[in-house]
Amino acid sequence: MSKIVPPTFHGTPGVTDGMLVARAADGDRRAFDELVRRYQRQAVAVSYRLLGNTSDALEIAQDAFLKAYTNITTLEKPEAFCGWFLRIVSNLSLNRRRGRKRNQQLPMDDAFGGDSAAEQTGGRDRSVEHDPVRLATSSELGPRVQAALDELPEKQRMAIILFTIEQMPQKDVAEVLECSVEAVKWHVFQGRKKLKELLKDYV
Amino acid sequence: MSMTLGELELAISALLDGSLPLPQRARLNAACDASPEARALLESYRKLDTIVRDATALQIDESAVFASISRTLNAHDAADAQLQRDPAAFASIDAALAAIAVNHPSYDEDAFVASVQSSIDALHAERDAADAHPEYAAVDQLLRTALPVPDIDEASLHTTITNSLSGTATDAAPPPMRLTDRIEPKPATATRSFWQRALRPLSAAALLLLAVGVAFQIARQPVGDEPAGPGIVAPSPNGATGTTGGGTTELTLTPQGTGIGRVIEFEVGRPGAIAPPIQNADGRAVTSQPSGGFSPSLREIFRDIDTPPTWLDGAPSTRPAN
Repeated sequence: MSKIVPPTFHGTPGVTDGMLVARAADGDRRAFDELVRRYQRQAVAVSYRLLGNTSDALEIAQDAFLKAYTNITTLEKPEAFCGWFLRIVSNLSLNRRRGRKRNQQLPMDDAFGGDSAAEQTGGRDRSVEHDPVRLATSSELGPRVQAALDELPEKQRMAIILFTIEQMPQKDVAEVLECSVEAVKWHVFQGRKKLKELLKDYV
Repeated sequence: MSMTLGELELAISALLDGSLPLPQRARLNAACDASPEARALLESYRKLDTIVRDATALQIDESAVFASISRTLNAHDAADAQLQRDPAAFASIDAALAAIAVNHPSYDEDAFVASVQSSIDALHAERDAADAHPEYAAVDQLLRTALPVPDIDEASLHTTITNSLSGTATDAAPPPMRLTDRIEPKPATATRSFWQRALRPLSAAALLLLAVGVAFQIARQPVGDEPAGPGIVAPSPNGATGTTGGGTTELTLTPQGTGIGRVIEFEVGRPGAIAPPIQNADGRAVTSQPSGGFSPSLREIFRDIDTPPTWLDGAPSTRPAN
């Protein structure tokens, strides 16, 4: 007698986001877990590049998935989950960033400087024993690029992060930024020009 | 074919985005071939993209991140399931909270009752103390002595009153029926509406004002040789202008008909501009003799004309000097 194995979506490219969203809206937790696997990296990366802080990035990713999980039935176009979810991530990150500015706290960086972020947050995320997010390179260029990104206006920074760094399609970036594809191109162009000026010593 | 710096940067950005159409791509290639600066610009933008991408590349332990997110979602699911599955647990918590609120350790019913009783006793004691105050006692004594209660023989008083009442009841004839007896008693003032109570004094005041006005009008009626009011100038029967007071204009009267019902026509105008009075065949004016003054109503009409019109400037004033 064969054992019944529950269906899994892990690593099944044929299953679209829309199908997963529909099943998650019906209460299928495994379908939502697959969405988590698909977008957790982007969520953490986008949040990290907007905040420059590992702990905050992880918190934002958790909050964003929780919001998506509890409000997934309100998503009108299931196929547009990517843009909808990354908009949640970017909005939460930008809110956190604005809150920091109001509180005169701009902790610059954890992974760049080591354990400073964990100290500032008082080790909020005890569930993660080790730092699951860190820069791939330890050169001084990383903090300089991050600082240059921080100087860009929000739209340009988001366009550069999502399109140039995360290499998302312009259409998805347009959905996240809630603007047209042409506007995305313009934001990327303007952002590139400013970054070139800010990083002229390296280019 | 040359390109401006702005056009070149825009084309390079589109090229890096992968959205540069083929014709523009050929144009950009031609510009880069022709200009080392254009080629250097293209390379610098390519390097910029690489730097931005590589310098911010992240190493993410996705399994750790997934575990963390899963824990969050599991906790949410557990809380949600607890709410849906076990409302009795929350009911028991509510009951326990209610019990704590009622049986709060600081609440002591005996102590509360004792404190209330002591407050009541304090109030009583204060009142008794006031009664026993010597000044109050002296005032009471003074009142008793100054206004002594008369010594009354209550039995004889009762007999007197009883006899009086019984005699009135037997001897007195029944009063005759009057019209007012049939009228329903008016409602008490307290039961009347606001408008009923307000209109009564208002109507009384209006009637009083009306009476005063009528009396005032009667008092202003001319009696005997009372001079006419100011401002009226009337021509004499022979055509000359006569004055009936401090007039500012000229009035010509033309009686029509005779008797009580005759009609008086009059003209008001500048002296000299008024046509002479109508004359009969004998050359006599048909205007009537002045009656010693116009009727009170006419005087009322012209009474307030005390400022001569401007067109009267230069005309002989008929206004008597004050």
